[in-house]
Amino acid sequence: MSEAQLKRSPFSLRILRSIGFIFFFLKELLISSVRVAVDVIKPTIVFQPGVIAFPLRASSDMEITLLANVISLTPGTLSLDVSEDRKTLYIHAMYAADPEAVREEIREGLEKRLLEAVR
Amino acid sequence: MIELAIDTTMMVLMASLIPALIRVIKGPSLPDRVIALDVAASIVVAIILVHSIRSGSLYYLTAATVVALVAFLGTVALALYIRRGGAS
Amino acid sequence: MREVLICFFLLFGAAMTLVAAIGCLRLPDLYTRMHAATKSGTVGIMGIVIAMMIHVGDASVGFRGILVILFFLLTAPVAAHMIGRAAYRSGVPLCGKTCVDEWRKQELDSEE
Repeated sequence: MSEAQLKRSPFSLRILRSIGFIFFFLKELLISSVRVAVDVIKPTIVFQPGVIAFPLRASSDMEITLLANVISLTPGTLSLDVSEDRKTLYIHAMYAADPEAVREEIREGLEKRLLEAVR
Repeated sequence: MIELAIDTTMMVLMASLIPALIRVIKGPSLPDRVIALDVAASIVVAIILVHSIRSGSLYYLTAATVVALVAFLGTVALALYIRRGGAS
Repeated sequence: MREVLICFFLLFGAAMTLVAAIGCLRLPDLYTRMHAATKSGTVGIMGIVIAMMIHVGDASVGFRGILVILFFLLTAPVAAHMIGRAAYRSGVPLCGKTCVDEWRKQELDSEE
């Protein structure tokens, strides 16, 4: 057994958190599609798009892939690229007037829940 | 009531093919066209599924899966082509 | 009750697909268009597949429907990611409203 395996949380806990994560993700997906719909239907353009660098805490291939996929399907964000050293994820955001707030939201909401479910 | 909903859905889906195809024609760059084609393919999948509900034949579900798969492969192939600097 | 659910999911899916197509035509640049295409397109397909699953009410169709939904959830972001990266690297411009571009900034920093 390697050290990483020993540090993992128990199996049953991970399963419960994964199920919770799936429902959280479905809710976010619904919100995101409705928000895109509102943006498209509004007669004038109100959003301020921008490209944001997001420092990754996820390290393994699977974690990064899952996080990038989930970011693409949640409100207002779309993952564009991972940097060469795999420490930064470049995100295209619909509302990027305050990049720090977008980073904070992803770090505290999605990434935290995803890592809790996987690790 | 279901008949009416199915007919409305079918008409809305047909109508939504038009803007996607306009973007395919207009699109200033190749990636724009690829994204618009992707949307058009997913609309076609939706049309096949609605037709499957109306006709009651379940084999169309498999056909819809195949169309989705081919569309995804086409998108990935075109993305690799753009990355190698084609079309410029 | 079942009929109402089926009608609701069908019309919801159709509306979301319509939003994806109109967004594809109307939004100002490639990256915002990808937002519309991935999110609304996926939800639209999901709505119609769920309507079909309720309408048939059969286990085999249910499993295949879940498979189709999972397939779309996996492939739509991957396709958008690949197109977005290729487009950004080949120099497709961001629209005039764009307020911040940290990727370009970091590349410029690393060149210096």
